[in-house]
Amino acid sequence: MLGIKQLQKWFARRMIVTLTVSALVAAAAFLALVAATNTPPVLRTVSAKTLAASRISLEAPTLGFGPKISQASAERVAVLGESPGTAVRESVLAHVTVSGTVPPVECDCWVVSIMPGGGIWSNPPSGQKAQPGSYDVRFIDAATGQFVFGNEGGTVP
Amino acid sequence: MKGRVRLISMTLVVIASMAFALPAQAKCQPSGRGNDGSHYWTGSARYPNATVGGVYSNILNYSPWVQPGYSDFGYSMLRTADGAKYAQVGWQEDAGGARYTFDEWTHDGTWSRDHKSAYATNSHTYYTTLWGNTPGYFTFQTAGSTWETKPAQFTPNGAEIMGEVQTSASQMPGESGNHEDFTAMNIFIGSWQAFSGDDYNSSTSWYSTSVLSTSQHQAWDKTC
Repeated sequence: MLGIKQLQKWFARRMIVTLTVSALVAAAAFLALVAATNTPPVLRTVSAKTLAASRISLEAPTLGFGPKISQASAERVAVLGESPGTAVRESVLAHVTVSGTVPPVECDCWVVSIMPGGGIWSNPPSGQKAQPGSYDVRFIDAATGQFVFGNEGGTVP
Repeated sequence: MKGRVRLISMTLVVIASMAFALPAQAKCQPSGRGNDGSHYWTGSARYPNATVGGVYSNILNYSPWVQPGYSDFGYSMLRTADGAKYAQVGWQEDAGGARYTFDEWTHDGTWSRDHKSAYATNSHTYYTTLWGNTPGYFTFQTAGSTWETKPAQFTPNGAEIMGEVQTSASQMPGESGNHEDFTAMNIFIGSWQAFSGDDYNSSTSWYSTSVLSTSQHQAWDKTC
C-alpha cells in the first residue's frame, strides 16, 4: 500500500512531467507558427530570383492585425483600366522592398500577378521585334488600396 | 428678358472661348487599318558612333486611342546601335485607359519594365535616361528627379526619342490638331548638346512627323 507521502510524490512527479511535456508542445507550436509567419511569400508565376534581378524582394508581411484591404479588392485595383480579358493569376500578401527607387518602395502590399488581355510584350527600340514576357506583377498597398509599383518582364534572345 | 438673353449669350461665348483655348486632344480610333500586332514608331534617332551618356526630352503626355490588348508609349531611350540592348523611360497608356510612368531596360538576358503612377495627360514631362551618372548604373529620371537606378550591363552608342504603338490598329500618339510633342531634346556625347537626330517614321502612309528644330520634333496619326 502506498502511503500518503508517496502518493503526493507520485502526483508531483506526474504533474512536473505533464507540465514539461505541455510546455514543450506549446513551444514547438509557437516556433512552427513563427517560422510559418516569417517564411517569404512565394509566387508560382515568377521566381524570387527573377524579381531580385529587378532589385525586388518579398518578405513575410509585417502587418500586426492583417491587411485593411481585402485580397479581392486589391485584385480589382490591379486590373483597373487594363485591357478586356486581363486575368488575375495569383496574389499574395508580402512585405515588398524595391531597391534603387526614389522615394524608396517599401510596403506591406498585395502582390497581384496578372496576365493582360493582350499578353505581355517588351517595348523594344525602333525597328526591333518585341519579345514576349512571362510575368506581370502589381503591388497594391494593403493599408490604403493604392497602386504602388509594377514590374513585368521576359527573356531576350 | 433682354438682360437674361444677354447673360446667357455671354455665358455661351465664355464657354465657347474656353473650349477653343484648350488643345483639342481626343482619342481617335484610326479608320481603315487592321490589327496586325506589329510595332510602329515615330520620332527621332541618333547613332553618333560614340558612347552616349544620356538623353532627355520634355514629352507631351498624350492620351491616344489604344486597341484592346495593347499599349501606346512615348519615351526617351539609350540603346546599342544594333537595337539588342536598351534602357528607356516615358509614359504608357493601356487599352482600358490605365496610364503609367514606365522604365524598361535589358539585363541578365532579360527585359524588365517598372511602373509607377502617371503624370497628368496633356502636360509635358521631362523623361531622362542616363548612363554612368552613377558609375555602372542607368539612372531613370522624370520631371528632373531620379526615379530609379538600375545596374547597366552595356555601353550605349545610340539614342532615340519616340512615340510607339504595338499594332497598326492603335492611334499613334498625336493628331493633326494636337501633335505628340518632343521638345528640349538633348543628348550627352561628351557634353550635353541638341539631339539633332534623324527623323524616323515606320509608315509615312499612316503617320506624319515634323522636325521643328535640332531639339524639337513632333508626330501624329494622319487619320486623326
